[in-house]
Amino acid sequence: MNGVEGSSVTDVAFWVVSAIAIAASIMVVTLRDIFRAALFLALSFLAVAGLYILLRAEFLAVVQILVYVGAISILIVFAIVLVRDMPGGGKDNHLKVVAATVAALLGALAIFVSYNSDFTNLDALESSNADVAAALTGTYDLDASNAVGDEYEDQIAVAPPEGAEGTEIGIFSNSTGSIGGLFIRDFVLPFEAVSVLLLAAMIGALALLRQRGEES
Amino acid sequence: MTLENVLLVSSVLFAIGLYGALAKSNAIMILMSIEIMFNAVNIAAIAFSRFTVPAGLTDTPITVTQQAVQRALTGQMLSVFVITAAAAEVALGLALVIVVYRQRGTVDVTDLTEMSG
Amino acid sequence: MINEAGSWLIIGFPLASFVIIGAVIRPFFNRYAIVAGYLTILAVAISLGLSIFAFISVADAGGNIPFESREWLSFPGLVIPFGIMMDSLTVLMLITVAGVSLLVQVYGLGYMKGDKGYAKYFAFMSLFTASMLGLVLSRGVIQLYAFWELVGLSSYLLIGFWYTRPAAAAAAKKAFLMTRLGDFAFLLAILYIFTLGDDLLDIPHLYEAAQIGAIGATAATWAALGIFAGAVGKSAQFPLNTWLPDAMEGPTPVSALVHSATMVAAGVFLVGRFFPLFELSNEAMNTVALVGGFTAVFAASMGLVANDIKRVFAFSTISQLGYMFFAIGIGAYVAAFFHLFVHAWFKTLLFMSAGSVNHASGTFDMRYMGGLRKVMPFTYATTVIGGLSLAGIFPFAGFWSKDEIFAHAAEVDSPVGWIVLILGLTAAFMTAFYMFRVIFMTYHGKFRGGVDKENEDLRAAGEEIDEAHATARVHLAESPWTMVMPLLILAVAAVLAGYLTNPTAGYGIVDQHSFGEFMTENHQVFETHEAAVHAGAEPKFNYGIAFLSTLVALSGIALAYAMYQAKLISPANLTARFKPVHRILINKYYMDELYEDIIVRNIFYNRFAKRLASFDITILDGVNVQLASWTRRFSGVLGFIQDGQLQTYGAVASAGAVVAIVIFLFWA
Repeated sequence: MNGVEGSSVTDVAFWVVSAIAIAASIMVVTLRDIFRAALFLALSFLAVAGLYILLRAEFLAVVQILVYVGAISILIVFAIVLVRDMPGGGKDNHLKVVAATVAALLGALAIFVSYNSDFTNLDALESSNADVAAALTGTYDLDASNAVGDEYEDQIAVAPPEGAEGTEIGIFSNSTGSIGGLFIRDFVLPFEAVSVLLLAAMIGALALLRQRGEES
Repeated sequence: MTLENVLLVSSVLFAIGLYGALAKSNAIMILMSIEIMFNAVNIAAIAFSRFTVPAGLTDTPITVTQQAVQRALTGQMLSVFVITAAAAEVALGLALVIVVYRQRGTVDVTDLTEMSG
Repeated sequence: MINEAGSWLIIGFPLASFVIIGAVIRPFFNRYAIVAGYLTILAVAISLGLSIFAFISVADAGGNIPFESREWLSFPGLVIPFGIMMDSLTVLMLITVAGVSLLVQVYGLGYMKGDKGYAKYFAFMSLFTASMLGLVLSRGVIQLYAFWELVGLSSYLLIGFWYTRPAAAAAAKKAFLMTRLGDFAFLLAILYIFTLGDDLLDIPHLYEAAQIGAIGATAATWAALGIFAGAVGKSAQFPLNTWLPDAMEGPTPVSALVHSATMVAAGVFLVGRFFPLFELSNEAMNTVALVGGFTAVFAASMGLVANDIKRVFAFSTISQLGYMFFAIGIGAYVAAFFHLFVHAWFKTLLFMSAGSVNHASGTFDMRYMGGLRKVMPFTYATTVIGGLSLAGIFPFAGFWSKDEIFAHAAEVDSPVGWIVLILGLTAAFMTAFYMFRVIFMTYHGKFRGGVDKENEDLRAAGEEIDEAHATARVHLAESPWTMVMPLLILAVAAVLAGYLTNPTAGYGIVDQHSFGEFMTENHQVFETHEAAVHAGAEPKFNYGIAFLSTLVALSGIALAYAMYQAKLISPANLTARFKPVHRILINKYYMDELYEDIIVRNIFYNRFAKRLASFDITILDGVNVQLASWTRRFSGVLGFIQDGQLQTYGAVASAGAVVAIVIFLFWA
């Protein structure tokens, strides 16, 4: 595959999806009709899922669609229906101008920071294994066999260390499995903690909404 | 699609979400804006995961593969947990909104001012 | 030989008595309050015994027993010493104070019977005795000042003993405040002495420094004047004399002990204690002498016309103290303390006699007494002895002491000496006159009704009868033996004490000049024999002066006889003829009005204090109020931030985050 061509396709896709996400979010925060705003929110989530795919986080894209679009957006719509406050809708409060200024400033600062930071200059890796250190210095695209060209392929510091083969370390081509493995091995504690969190959330929601004696 | 561009998108989304969280008076609208902010953060994490490798390898002798996997996918792991937490949070948040609606008859946060100092 | 522990015990026993009475007897056993009296007498008796032992020890040791100086507080650059100073002046004062106190406590047993504050009285009396003993035993200047203040406090408590009487409470305050004025100057002098040298806060060191000439004449003048100001306050000399007549509001034994023999003598003691310092400065000595001489006449003149027997004696005390000061001012150290010693005994006697006649006639006003000699012979006899002693008639003690002062004054060949001699003789005439006026008015003639008649007259004049007058009774009989016995003992002392100086010859066990020699034995104070002699170690007897002073005294007595006994000259006519003079004297030269109305009320309160108060209210408070209102307004401005809206808080937090990031990016 031609790197340049691949790049431009990815780029165009990226900008289109980003535009959809941003536009949908703007609609969310500016519409007075809350129901329409909820729908635009779902659209925004979809766009973000697309963005995830472009960023080669396929597992997460699917999770995004399942959880955000499939569950959270529905939940929000249900809540809107239960709270029959339609006329009120998405009214603005007295902080409109201040909030707009602050948000704009914060966003501008973040953009400024991200454009002026040197992301290739990460700390030197202190490992006794020199090969590993050499292998992982700087930005590194481990999926050497990736069909979609990427300019960072030029920035591989050293060739992959000995004994390592492309398929073995093609993590990005199998992110689901890798993530699953990580859950079991390195992130097992947060995994368990998050399950406790979900349990607590469920119990809490039920406790909140149970009405004494009447229908819940 | 450079790292900076993705971060640009993330920042813009975050700013939009922040505006919504601060300037809207409907509680559900605020929750939706917060979800937008969560999404923005996730995008940023995943972007970093895609374009950089976190520093600080350990000295324990595990294979390059494992280390690389662990380091390279940290951003995505973060996103998984963020999504999970966001889901739990929005569920509970909406439950609270409904309880408040039942008690006060309104979800307009400007009418809920008992914590004034 | 007495040791240091024994010396501290001299203070310790009366102090313990105070604590026991105050903490145990009065709160819990007030019904057995008489135990408080016995306890006090026991404690003071033990102190007297120890004092006599100390006296013997000091005499054996040659005038001074050097004890150690201990550290009370020490800071870098300042060490405050304390300790015991046991020299001849100390033991003289110890015996005087302990002895007079013991007799007064015995007297008080009978006098204060029935008073509901009986235990409190003895507690305060114990405290006073302990403080006075501590004062004379002090070695460190700060220690001395502490006891000085304690003495003042005890005096305040005792004067205001019947505190429910407004006059008594006012008198106590007045006494305390006036002496405080003097004490302030004294404190300044102490601080000044400290600046002259680090170790000068220890009296023996001060003596050394004075004698080797380490203190300059001007420095000594300022220090001595400050110290003398303290003495002026405590001894009620002019111009701080107005508190003592008012202090007669206290019980009579208090007047007998505190305001005749001991506390007021503390001023003379103070000057004596710092004598080497005073000697360095001619100006200070002259000031002391002139103030003393002037006060002697000044006070005696007021005693000429007073009708309240205790007030006559109060003026007499001030006047006699004036004698002591002028003696010390002309350098007659021995004569001054001899007079102090002798005066203590007969003045206490006279006050006690005033208490006795009060018991008999119910009043202190001599116009309503009379003829009491038939009813109370012992009291009369002792009073006459005391009066003759006060007037300075041979062979009583007062003659010898007064005479020594005059002799010394005649020797000093300077204008100051002649001035004070004339003043002294004038005062002697007045003293004799007013003393015998008292005797004739009180004890001779017919009884004029006592308190009953006094109340009648007050009612007729439309005036209020206060509680004291209303509850008093006429009880024409001799006082109980507890009151008479001290009088007798004191009368004996009033006669015999004079022979201690023996200017003419030795009498049996007491050698010639023994007192003078004893007093000047302490080489720390009197380095050379010449200095001792100069101070009066070997007084010569000046027959000319003795004759002159006796003549003066006898003429005073004769005038009193003529006016009050033989009625040859009518007091009423004299009063009418010299009305303005009489008015000035009876109003105590209007000094009270000057102090209270003009200086305090007008100048201090109305002008000065009111101005300050208005400044405080308008300007200082005004500033505060303005600040408060500005703060309120400012807080109102910022109040919108805390409106209870979570979103406001969120906005502010985000804005803060923006600011922090900006600062971090561009400045840090």
